[in-house]
Amino acid sequence: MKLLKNHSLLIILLLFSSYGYISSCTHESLTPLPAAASNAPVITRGTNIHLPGSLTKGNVDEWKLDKVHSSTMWSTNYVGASGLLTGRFNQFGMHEVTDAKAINYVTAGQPLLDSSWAFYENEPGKTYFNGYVQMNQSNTGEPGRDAGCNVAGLGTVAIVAGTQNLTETNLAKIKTTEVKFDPLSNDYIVTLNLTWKGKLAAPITKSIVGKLKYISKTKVQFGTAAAYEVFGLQLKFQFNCRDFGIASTSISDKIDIECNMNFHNK
Amino acid sequence: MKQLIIYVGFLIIMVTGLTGCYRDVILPDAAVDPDGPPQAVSFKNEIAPMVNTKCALAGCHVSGAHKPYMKLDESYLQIVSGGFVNTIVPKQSIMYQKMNAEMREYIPSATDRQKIYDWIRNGALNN
Repeated sequence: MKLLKNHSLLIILLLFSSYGYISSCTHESLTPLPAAASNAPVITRGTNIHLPGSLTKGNVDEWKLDKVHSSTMWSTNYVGASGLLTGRFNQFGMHEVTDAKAINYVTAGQPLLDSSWAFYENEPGKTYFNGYVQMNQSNTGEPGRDAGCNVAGLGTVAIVAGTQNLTETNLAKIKTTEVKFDPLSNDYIVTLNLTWKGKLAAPITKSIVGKLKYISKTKVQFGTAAAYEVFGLQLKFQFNCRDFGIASTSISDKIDIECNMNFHNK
Repeated sequence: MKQLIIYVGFLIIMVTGLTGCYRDVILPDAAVDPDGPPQAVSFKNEIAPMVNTKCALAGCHVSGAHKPYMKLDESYLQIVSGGFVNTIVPKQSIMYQKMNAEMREYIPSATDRQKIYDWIRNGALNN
């Protein structure tokens, strides 16, 4: 009887301990691990090539800057830490302004052809562009500021009606030195030289890294005799205005620039 | 005596059985993509106290020494307005490049460095 009691107890304890062992085993270690996140975004690029050629009107293979539908905008934090102070440049272009061309032009239109650029969607090494703005054409929508403190604040001179002032005092220009694929997106990483006098004695050039976005070619007014194609380039970069002698407590040293350039082949 | 040995023996088996078969699941680091969508990061609550503690050390990033100054009340203006971040190409930020090179020893935690990277990617807000 005593032996039986011992055997029964043994079996009961064995059952309990087996159950305990099995039920406590959550098998969580066997949970499938999540798939490793990928560092490689899905990037698709076409093979479009856009060149200005001679800007011949009606030549669909030659792309023209659509200036009236383009913009060059700037923004910076008011007093360095508040909301954005924004503006745009009314006069800009895409021509390489050499020293010889940095003069006053008596015209109301574009003083130089917007032809110093090329874009290769799948060969960024061949892509390049030049651009310029007239500093006294900064437009914040507040005339008192634009024609007032901004002129002296940016180290330039007032607008002369009917004149496009591309002299070194009023000229800020960019020139790409390298364009390459952005490994994290469909965009391009652009290294460019920014040349501006600002409030220094002479213009200086700073190397800056920005980002270029290509808005792919699209046909508009499709199915009509007036159909044509468009594409866009959006360049964003930042620079430190203190590098150019602008030391203001009213704005941040960091200035954001956004260039939205639209092109057509009409 | 024999019964006591049996009781104790099976008690040990039960305790072992109830506690012995659990293992924590530790996710691999590879599941975190540093270039994935940036997480929300507060400059005032996370970045400023971090750089104040780790960088605003005597002779380092404090007034009169190396810019940007990282004391709590001045670090935002010093970092952002001073041109130490590039929110358009974040990896081109001087701050990002320094903290992953010679300043890495002062911010040894990958999580802390990721917070700074995410803050820049979110626009380096004064939030």
